[in-house]
Amino acid sequence: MIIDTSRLAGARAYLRTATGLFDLVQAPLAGGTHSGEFPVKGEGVLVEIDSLDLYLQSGKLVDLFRRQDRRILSLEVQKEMFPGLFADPYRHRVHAIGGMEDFLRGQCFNLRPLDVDGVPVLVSTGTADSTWTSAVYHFGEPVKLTAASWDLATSRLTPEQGFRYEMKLHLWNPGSPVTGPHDAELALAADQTPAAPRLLEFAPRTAVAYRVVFKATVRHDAFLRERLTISSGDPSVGRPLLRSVNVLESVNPAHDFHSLQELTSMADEYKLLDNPDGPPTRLSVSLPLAASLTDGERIRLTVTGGLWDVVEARLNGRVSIRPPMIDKPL
Amino acid sequence: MGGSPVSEDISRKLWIEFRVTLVGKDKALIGGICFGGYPFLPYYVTPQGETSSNFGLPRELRVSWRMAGGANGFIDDETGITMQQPAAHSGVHLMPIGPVSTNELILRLSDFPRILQVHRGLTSDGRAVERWGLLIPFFYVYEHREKTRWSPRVPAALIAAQQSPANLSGSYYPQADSLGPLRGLCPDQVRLTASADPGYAVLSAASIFGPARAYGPLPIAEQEIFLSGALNQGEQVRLFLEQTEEHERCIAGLRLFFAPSIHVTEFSVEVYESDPIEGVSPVALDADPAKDKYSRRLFVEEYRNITFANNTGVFRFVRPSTCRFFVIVITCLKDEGRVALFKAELVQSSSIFVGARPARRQDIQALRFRLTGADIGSDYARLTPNGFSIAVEHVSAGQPRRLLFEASNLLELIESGFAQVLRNQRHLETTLEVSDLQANTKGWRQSETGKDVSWNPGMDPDVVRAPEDGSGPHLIHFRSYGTNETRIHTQQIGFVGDDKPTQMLQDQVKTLNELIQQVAGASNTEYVTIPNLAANPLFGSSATTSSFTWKGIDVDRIKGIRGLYHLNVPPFSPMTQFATNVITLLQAYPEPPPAPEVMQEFFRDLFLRTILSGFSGSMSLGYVFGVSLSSGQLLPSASRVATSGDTGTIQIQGTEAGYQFSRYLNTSYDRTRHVRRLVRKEEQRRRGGDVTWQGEYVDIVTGVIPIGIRLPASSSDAYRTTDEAIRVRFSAPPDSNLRVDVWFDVIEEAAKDDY
Repeated sequence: MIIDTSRLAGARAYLRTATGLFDLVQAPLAGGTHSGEFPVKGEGVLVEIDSLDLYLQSGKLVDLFRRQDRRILSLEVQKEMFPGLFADPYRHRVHAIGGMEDFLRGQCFNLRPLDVDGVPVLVSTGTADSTWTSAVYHFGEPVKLTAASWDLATSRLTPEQGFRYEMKLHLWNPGSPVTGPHDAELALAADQTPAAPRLLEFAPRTAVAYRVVFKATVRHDAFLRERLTISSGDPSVGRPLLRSVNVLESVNPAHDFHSLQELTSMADEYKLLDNPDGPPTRLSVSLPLAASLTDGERIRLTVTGGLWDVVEARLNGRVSIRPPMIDKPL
Repeated sequence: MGGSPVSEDISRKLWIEFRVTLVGKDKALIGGICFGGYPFLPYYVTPQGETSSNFGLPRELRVSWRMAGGANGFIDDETGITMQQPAAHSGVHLMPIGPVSTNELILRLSDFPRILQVHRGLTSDGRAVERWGLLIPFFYVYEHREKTRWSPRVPAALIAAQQSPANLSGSYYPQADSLGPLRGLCPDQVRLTASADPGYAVLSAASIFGPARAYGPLPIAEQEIFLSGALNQGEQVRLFLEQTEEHERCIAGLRLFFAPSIHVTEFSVEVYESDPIEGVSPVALDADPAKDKYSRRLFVEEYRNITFANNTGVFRFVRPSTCRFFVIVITCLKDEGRVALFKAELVQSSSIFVGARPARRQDIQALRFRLTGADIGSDYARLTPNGFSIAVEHVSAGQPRRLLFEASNLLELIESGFAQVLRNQRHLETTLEVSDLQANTKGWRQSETGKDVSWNPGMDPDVVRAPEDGSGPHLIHFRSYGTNETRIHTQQIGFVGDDKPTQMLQDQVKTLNELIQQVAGASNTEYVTIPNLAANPLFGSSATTSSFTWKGIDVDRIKGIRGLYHLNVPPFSPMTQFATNVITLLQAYPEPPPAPEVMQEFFRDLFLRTILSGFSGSMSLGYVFGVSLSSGQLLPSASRVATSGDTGTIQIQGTEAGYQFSRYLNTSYDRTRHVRRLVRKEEQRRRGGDVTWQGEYVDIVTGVIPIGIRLPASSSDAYRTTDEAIRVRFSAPPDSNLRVDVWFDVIEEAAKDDY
């Protein structure tokens, strides 16, 4: 079976309030803001967004071209950046720690970085507990860390008796010498089974340096068939474990606008609609926005209250539906 | 090899290492190793998806080798392959490692399985008595060779058999609790036999994928079959099986051979392809393959009171599958039945089919093919003498088939632009030629000689010519005369222009005469005389009477003839008194002749040194005077040689040729006629020997067809369709004249959708 792709159209294409209104201003939220969302629900649904059309109406439209103290409009894309971790890729920077060089720069104990299925991965060796301590990653300016996700080579469907592990993040505060001991320790995973979620969202932590500590206890081997650079004297291979650790750093959002000038400069096209009775009060903007959204992902538009008379947002994109798996019935 | 009883889980601490040396070859080109476990060991499936006995095989096996050339200095070259199989299959295991040129392999076996001791019963907590151990009946190292496999039957073997829900009645441990530690026990039925050893017969599921044991008379069958436990309606038997060749084949279906009198009469058959992701066993104790996103159903059908032809059910899949693991689910649709099977076979597709898989996205970049055969390049109008064609298609749901490539003859292959032909040259060789040759020759010869023979006027010898002296024309005759006389007189004049040696010569001649006179006792007799050299013959011409230049020769520069000096002084010769004596002798003669005592002293010295050093010497006087000395290595020698006297030769020669004249006239005529008629000629087309493949002279057609299609994983979040595939069709099975290899460049990416 094959199902054709259709254009996102009709009322489904609009960001709407929680009550289903098209004009976001009609539904004020706490804090004096208004917002509308475009959620994607349903397994097998894929929405590929190309752009966002905004219709803005305000009696202060001309004044809003000047930068405001508060943001006047904010766009947020909630996406599953890593399995189970939903975040806005336009608001985060990813620190990916993985690969042969990162693994080898750290200290391995009963772990060896090997290529498994073409991906560098830390593989346990022998039967004792395994530990990997990464190098200390030192930054020129403090970074604000908000979440971490890690990729283990073995699936979460692995029986829980297969192995257990823990993961920590050692942090150095701004001003602390990175040659000294770490200032704080953040437990990302403590004695977890394979089935445990492999992510942690935490309160923002500002640090100038960090390192990752990974420990694992392997009880059963995995399915593995690989050409590995192991000599005859090396101990038995245990289980492929850690592939990478991804630390999310919060950055200034690219889609937070403090003026209409910022908005229109990013737009593919905008149009000020004439007002015969005075200065223009209506603005049409086509904002480029590339996003592929699946089940559980969403786009949210938030506008500051008291500035707008009408705010409408409509997405341009395509919708694909995965053909269902069917079997001949018994 | 049996070990200690299992009391705690130390399996991963157990290992054993073998060093395998190949004898008989200095360096063998190894393709891999081949080994097998014991398929009839009882087992139970653990919650981790392991089979407890693992058919006697270690769960981790590593093969490492020493690279050809020994220690080559590299620190990151691949020297080993590790394979972990927590649930190994019951068949023959192939572990390709090659081609590797070595004669020594190091085999490390670790993570030992548990061998059930069924006769020991159960422990108090419901566990079976087990021992750590290995059971590997055979182990081979095979040579690397490129071969094409083409047969419908695909080797497969059992990973595990499970009955759901568990029913341990009639099994190895009928007394065990089906919810206890042995709830994953294999459903193989055990029956008592009349014979005392071993006293029971096992009807195992592993036997339907390989050789079955012969038990003798049994109530059920003489040969081992698979017999499950009793099933109620809705209960299932699941057979987890695996392809066992080194590369996965395209499986088109399945054959099951039923035991009709025992097998349940109403049942359904489902077949799933299983594509487990990393870390997950293909044997899941509690997972229903119908609900597993990493399994896809390939066949389902219900059978009620149906009799299969030859008791063989053929189950063709909805599409071919390239998965390595399959699950056969037989569901009982009627109370109280059993699954009874003689044999099970996987059947390969006649085409090559690459489609979507459950757990892996596949980026098919290119298709590569290789046709190898002795007669591929013989005729551009066909691929083999028997005819063969190949087609590559892209099939997608609801869309026309897209033909990517098709060729039914060699010319189409070449014109496609994808193929390269490596072809041995052909030439015609005459093996037989029969011809009829007729020759007819005619001719005659005539020769005339004599005065009256008519002559070519231009060559008439009687030519009247006027001589140069103006004496008038006269007849030229053939006549010539010639005389010649040569006289050579050589005068040896000895010393000229140097009075000292002249005088010395005269003195020596005088001394010689005196020596001879003393010996002969006849005084006043001159035995040796010298010619009168009063006139210097070099200056006999009047032109030399004064010092001036005569015809370019400055007479003052003519110093005379002084003879030849020879001095030989060996490098190790002592400059002895002897040399002094010789020089003294030569220099002293202008003085009064040496007294006999001096000569005697000289000859004594000469004699002594001759004795001491193998010396030979001589002295001669006469027309040729000189002193010559020779020695081996030690003594020096000096000589001065001049020659006087006369030598001469006279040669007189005369020739005369008289009148000589001859004339011939030869006339001839030749005519030859050859007639050759080719009666019969046989030629055969021969091939050159440029292209070989594993030692055979063959033609090779190889090619790469770019594909560029991404097949989604069916467990992915989104995709357009999974009903899409690349298919390679052949018009006929390759015969003995043709070998076909087709393979794909595929990048696989695991779709780990486990949240």
